[in-house]
Formats: sequence, C-alpha cells, structure tokens
Amino acid sequence: MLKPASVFTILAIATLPTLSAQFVPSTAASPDGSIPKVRHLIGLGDIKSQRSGTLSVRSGALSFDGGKSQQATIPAASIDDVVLGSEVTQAGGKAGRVVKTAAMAAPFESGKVLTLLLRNKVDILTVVYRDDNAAIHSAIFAVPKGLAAGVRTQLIAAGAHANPQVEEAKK
Amino acid sequence: MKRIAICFLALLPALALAQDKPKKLTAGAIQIEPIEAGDIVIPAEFRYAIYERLIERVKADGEFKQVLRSGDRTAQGIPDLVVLHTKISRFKQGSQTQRELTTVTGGTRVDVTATVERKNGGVLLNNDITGRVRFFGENLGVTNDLAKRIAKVLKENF
Repeated sequence: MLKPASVFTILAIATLPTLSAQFVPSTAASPDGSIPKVRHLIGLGDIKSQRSGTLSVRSGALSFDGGKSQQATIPAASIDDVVLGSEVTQAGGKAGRVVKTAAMAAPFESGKVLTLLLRNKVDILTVVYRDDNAAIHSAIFAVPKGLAAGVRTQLIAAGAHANPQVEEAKK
Repeated sequence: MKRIAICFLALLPALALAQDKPKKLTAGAIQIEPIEAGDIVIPAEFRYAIYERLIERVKADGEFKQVLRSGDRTAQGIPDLVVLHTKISRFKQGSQTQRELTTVTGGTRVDVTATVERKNGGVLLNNDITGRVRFFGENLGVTNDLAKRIAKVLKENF
C-alpha cells in the first residue's frame, strides 16, 4: 500500500509534462515582434511584481501589457541603458511553487527531483531610464531565453542609449 | 522620606534607559543614489533591483516626507535633504537549484556599506549591512532582503 506522500509525489511527477507545456516559454516572438510571457520583476510604477505580460517596442517606446490596468510605456528617448543578463529560475509559476512545496512531504526527499525538472533559464532585461524630472528609474524583466537581445536592438534602433554590453563573469 | 527614597531607587533603571536611548536624526527628505559596485563584479539587475526595492521600502516605511530618486531636479530646493549612498563590498551569487537540492549550500549574499550624508557632505550614518537568500526563492530575492535591512537601519536612526 502506498503512503499518501508517495502517491502525491507520483501525481506531482505525472503532472510535470502539463506544467512544462504550460509554463516553459516558446523561444519565438510573435509575428509583430512582441514577446509574450514576460515577467515584470520590479520598476514599472504601479505594476505588480511577478506580473506576466507582453513586452513590445512600438512607436518609439517600450511597452509592457500585463492586462487590466497593468500597462506601462517607457519612451525610448528617455532610456539611458539597456543591460542583458541571465538567470536560472523555477518554471511553472505559482502552480510549480505549490507543487514543489507540497512535494517536500515526499519520503527520502524524493520531492527534490522536481527542483531539477521544474527549472528554466531566462534572460534578464534591465532598462534604465529617466523621468521628466531627470530622476533615475530602472525596470527589470524576466524574458524567455534568447529574446532579450532582440528587444535591446529594437530599443537602440528606436533611439535608446545603451552602453556596450559587457560579458559579466559568472561565478 | 523613606518612601521617597524607595521610589527614587525604583525609578533609577528607567531613568538610565531613557538616557541611553540614542538621539534620532532628523531629515524631511532622502535621496537614494544608485548602488555603487566599485571593483566588485555584480550583474546590473542586482544593482538596480536593490535601488528600486530600497525606494519602495523607504517610501512604505514613511520615515521621510519625501523619498527622491537619484538625479531628481526637485532635490535642489530641499534644505533638510539627506543622501543615501550604498556601496557593495562583497557579492556571492548562489544557485536556486543548489539551494533547493542541498538546503545548506548555494546561498546568495551581498554585503554593502550604507552611508547617509547631508547634502553638503557631512556623514550622519555609516553601516555595514548584509542581505542573504539562504533557502527558497530566486537569487534576486537577495535584493529584497538587503533593502529591508537598510530600510530598518534608517527607521531606527531617523
């Protein structure tokens, strides 16, 4: 007879393909150049941290659309720098976090296998800009892997300033 | 007479505590400068995330009437303005996966020196502060922990 924790682990592992399919982002932008499934980390005024939305460069501005009253625009001319980085994070969003937390109850720490399976690499896009009073702001986004460089190029073409990208040493 | 003496003796510890309490600094506005990395290699997103989270935290705490960002032109007209400088002295980027697998390794840590100065340059406060992510969460979570600690120091002193 299986223990409840074991049953849970089996169920959690069985749901992995569904979670992965749902949350691991595709590596292509939309035909109009916008990027879906971008996570806003911090810096866009009233937009909540961890809000997912679509990032695009249109009409000389960077736009983030996170749905109901969660939109923001940064004019490219006000951008001082655009920096790219990368990070390995947990895939699966809130559902993934819940599954991983619940799987801690699994015997012999077998739930930790989810940590290895539920992870993905993202690009981190940092946009440094100034408001009308010349005050410095920065907006940070987690962008599906491989797509942030395209946003940077589009922003520079639209008039944003950007320092040469320096490859930072990884520890 | 005896009663008065007893009352006086009983109040002595309270009087001593009241005298030991450090005097709080005063300022109506604070300007937060971006994080300086110096020679320390730290990804830009960490520096800017600390800056943004600091502004969020200090605003939320409400210790200052105005919280201004670096470069804000309105700062020039404020007489009782103090400026917060944060310099990174050490940074160790861990791994979220390693943390979750081993529990004891893979922590992310950032050490900073936070200095509060008057607009004309006099140093009011100088503290070494450490932010950490030990168990769960993304590496960038260290920025939240650090901002929380710096804001706490400001709250204790202003």
